[in-house]
Amino acid sequence: MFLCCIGSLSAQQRTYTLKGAIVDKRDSSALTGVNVYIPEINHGVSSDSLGTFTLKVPALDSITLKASHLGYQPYQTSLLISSDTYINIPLTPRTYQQKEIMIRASKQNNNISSTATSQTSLSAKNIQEIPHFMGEVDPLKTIQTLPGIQSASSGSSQGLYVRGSTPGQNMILLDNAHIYNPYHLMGLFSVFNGDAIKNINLFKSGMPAKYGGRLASVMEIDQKTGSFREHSATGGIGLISSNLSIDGPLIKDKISYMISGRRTYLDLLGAVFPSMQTGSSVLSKASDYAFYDFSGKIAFTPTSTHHIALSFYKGKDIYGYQHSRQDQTDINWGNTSISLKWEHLPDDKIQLTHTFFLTNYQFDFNTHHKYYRFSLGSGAQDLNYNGNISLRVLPGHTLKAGIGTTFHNFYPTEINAQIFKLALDFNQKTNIYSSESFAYISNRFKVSERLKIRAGLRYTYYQHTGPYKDYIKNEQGKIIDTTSYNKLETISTYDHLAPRLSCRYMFNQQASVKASYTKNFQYVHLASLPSVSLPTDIWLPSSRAIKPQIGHHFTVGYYRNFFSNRFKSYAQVYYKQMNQQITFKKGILNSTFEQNLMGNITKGEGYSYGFELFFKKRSGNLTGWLSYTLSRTMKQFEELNNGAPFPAKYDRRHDLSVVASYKINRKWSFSANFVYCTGEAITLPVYRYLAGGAVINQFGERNAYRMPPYHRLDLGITYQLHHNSTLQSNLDLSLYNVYSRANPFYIYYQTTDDFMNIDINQVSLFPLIPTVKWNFTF
Amino acid sequence: MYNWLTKYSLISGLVLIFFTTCEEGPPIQNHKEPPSQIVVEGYIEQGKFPKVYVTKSIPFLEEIDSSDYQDLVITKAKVTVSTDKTSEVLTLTRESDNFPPFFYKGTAIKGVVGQTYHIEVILKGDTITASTTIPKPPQFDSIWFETASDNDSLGGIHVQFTDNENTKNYYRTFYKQIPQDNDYQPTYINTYDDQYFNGETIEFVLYKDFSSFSSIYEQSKFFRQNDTVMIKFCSLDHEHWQFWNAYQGKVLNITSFSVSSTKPIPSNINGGLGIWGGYGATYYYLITE
Repeated sequence: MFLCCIGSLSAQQRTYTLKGAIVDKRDSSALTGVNVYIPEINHGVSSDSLGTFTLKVPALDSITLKASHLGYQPYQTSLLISSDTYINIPLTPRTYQQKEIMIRASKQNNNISSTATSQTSLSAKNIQEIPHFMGEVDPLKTIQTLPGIQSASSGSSQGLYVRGSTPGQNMILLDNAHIYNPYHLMGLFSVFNGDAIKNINLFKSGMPAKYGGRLASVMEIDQKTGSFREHSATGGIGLISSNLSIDGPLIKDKISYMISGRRTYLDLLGAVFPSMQTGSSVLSKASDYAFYDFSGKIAFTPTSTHHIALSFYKGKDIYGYQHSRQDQTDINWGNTSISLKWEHLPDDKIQLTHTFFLTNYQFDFNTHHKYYRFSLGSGAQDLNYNGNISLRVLPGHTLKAGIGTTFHNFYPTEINAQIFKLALDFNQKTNIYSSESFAYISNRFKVSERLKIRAGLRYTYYQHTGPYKDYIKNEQGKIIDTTSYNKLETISTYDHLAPRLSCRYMFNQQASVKASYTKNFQYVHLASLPSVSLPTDIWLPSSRAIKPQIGHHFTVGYYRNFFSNRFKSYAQVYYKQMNQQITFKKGILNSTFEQNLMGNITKGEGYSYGFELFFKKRSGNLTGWLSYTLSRTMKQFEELNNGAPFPAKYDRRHDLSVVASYKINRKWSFSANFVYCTGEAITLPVYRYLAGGAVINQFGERNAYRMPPYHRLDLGITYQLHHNSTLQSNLDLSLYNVYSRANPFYIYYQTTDDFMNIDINQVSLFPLIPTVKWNFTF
Repeated sequence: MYNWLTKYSLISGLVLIFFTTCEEGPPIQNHKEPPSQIVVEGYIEQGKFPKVYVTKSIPFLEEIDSSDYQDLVITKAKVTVSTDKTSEVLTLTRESDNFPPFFYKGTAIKGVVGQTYHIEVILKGDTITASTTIPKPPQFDSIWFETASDNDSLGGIHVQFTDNENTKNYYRTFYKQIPQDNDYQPTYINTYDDQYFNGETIEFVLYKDFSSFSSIYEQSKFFRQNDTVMIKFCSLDHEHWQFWNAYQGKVLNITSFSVSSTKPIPSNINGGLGIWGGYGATYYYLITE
């Protein structure tokens, strides 16, 4: 977080510096984004990532200092300012049940006054508010209720589609570390355990110059910092999973820890209730599935100006299916990350931040049968350093700059196969090495009280390096030459300048208009298989054959608050152009050989434009929001659909979400969530013909047809069981898909026995699912 | 194997949430369909006359009965096969125990290895054309029957052969059981691309019953001891192979939109659908002992 000066002081009047640190009274953890305000001078700031703030205050007999933060009781004190002053402000958490549903703004009208066009922050409490799918608190599902952010079919979190972009164009950072696959169970749950998350910050346009390398969005997810004062535990016991987080001091007021874990027990349920495992005859014998997450953070505050945090995460999905003793299939995938962050505030005008991270994503598929064996693996590893500085040396200017580099190591596919005695030649595991180095600078400044601008420039230098083998093929696809590159030898390079510009014009304290332009380059690519999205989607780095993706993103919006900021709203239009996109032409085996990887890729482009509307009620017993998106997303690839443009799979003309929470009393509260969106685009056969003694279906134009619309209502009821200083607990009942809408997950057809006629059917997931979970904190 | 992989994985996901799956009726409306196209399925082999079936496509969701089925067969086309030096108009021939029950057969031009053959089909003013070449026939190094490890009478036909390193090769395999089968059938997996074994000596196994991958456990896939079997091992050119390789993928995943490729089967027919292909074929006679 950064300091935000909102006024200039009279040069003629003597001023003093008021510095302070804001902490959670319960555990002394630093609180960021706290609104600090002095009404006498009409000045305010937000606390930074160390919980500190600085204000210039004129010499006055007495001032009133107010501090407010979501989830905490308001704080107010009087101060006599006759010299530079330092103050500690402990904020008292509101009671456990007093959750405030609203999307947090660091100031009451921050949505009006900031230059950010599409930035959203969610606290842990916000995430808890919408009804929970199978009892699991899922931050990504909350984010999908916001305008311009769409989910895949079946209501899963898989596929965070931000303004027509694909899931691989989102940068998801957990405590600064990249998470390549943020999903469990084919995307039905995200990997982020709600108990371990402190807050989420999402940029879907107007991305700061600090971030680059993705076309669609940046999502910063911060894990909670453990208490520096006392130990506590939070957890929940549900029908399909349980979770537990513990935190506390290792050295009081110096070092804290937080450890959190979550595990499902679908596999155990399967063992206890084998009769529940129905399904097709081929797959009904024995299948086990489980996922787990394990994360933690160690925070060290040697002095008030230094803060060091070491974070880690490990999550895994484990699936096994045994058809017979000789026939076993295992699919495992997961992320591991470790990151270090060091923040230093030498004085009130300078903030230095260094981050390091190492992340690893691994997917493995193994199957063996008495006649064949097959294994497939893919993965990605990143090693990264970022250094950032924030300067407020010029009045009215906030200057930020930074440098960094990321080393990528991808192994898109590793395949071993054997059919009887024949070991198929799929070549050896191929690692592809590359690096992205960048430098950026940005400045946020006021042209006038009404007009504020943030301008930035980001330079990136990308290198694809050896060891690597480049294959040259003739027209028949036969390799006729090979070029070998040594370790660290440069194979191809790209460098780009990416400008950023955001500005806002305030009509008054309640209304503003904002516009932003962002140019982005993306050097890593998530190439999806043509027909389905699975964890087998493959990450590829840019190379001589695969050029970096280029994105241009324009946003203009009108922002309006009502009734003293109790109601917030905005209307935005956007246009996004995406060039040099890639996708696989054929199936995965054709994509897996080093010499074929590039040849199995087709290049294209896409664009998306739309209108977004958001309206939110922030306070009172009834709170909630409504979001609506009207959009269109088209793609065009050289070798798909005969080169003609076609709608993207998740092109949604209409997308509506309504979220509401109603607090009846201290014991009872209700929440509801309704979503409606246009059906997915699908490709269907247009005619059948006879060949080779079989009936063949010839498909028509790509994505020319639509599934039925998707809509669903969820309800949640929370009942407070205990509320005292030693134990707080509640029972959480969620009703998913209340009216049991059969939303299409996928479509399939069956030919009649004589192959003459066709029956089309759809498969739907998740009818009404009631779940109950007991949550506790002590 | 790719299609099998994706299918397996997707269905696995469904099984995981076994207690929530349900199905419903026809969800698609306003399904637009283009007019019918002429479909050619023809081949020419070295030392043999060309054989060509001509049919037409039908709208995907159109309900048809057996009498409509007969209307799909085109018997009034003029089908001409030619080389650079000669040409022949093929003759309509009845094949009562087959469907389609009519095909067009040559009586003059026989296939020659290395020769390119052109086809022209004229129907009601529409003309469609295609060309193909007969590659050099391949040969197995050896061929034998072997029972499966846990069975004493069922098994597969094992073959070993050496791929030519200096040429890009595509292969297809067929079988005919004597006396049960009238004609050659594709083996269970029947298209091969030498990108996976270029220049190598490899061994693989042929099974019967090319219908669906999921039924690999069925006994119908296996040959039995003392079967009399003919094996046909063919080379074919790239376009010809592309059609049958995509066709194989479609047939093995015929029931699901989600897991089968939605890409149309590539065709070398200009103005229509289907395939006109040349085979360089070698035949093997085997009694499975």
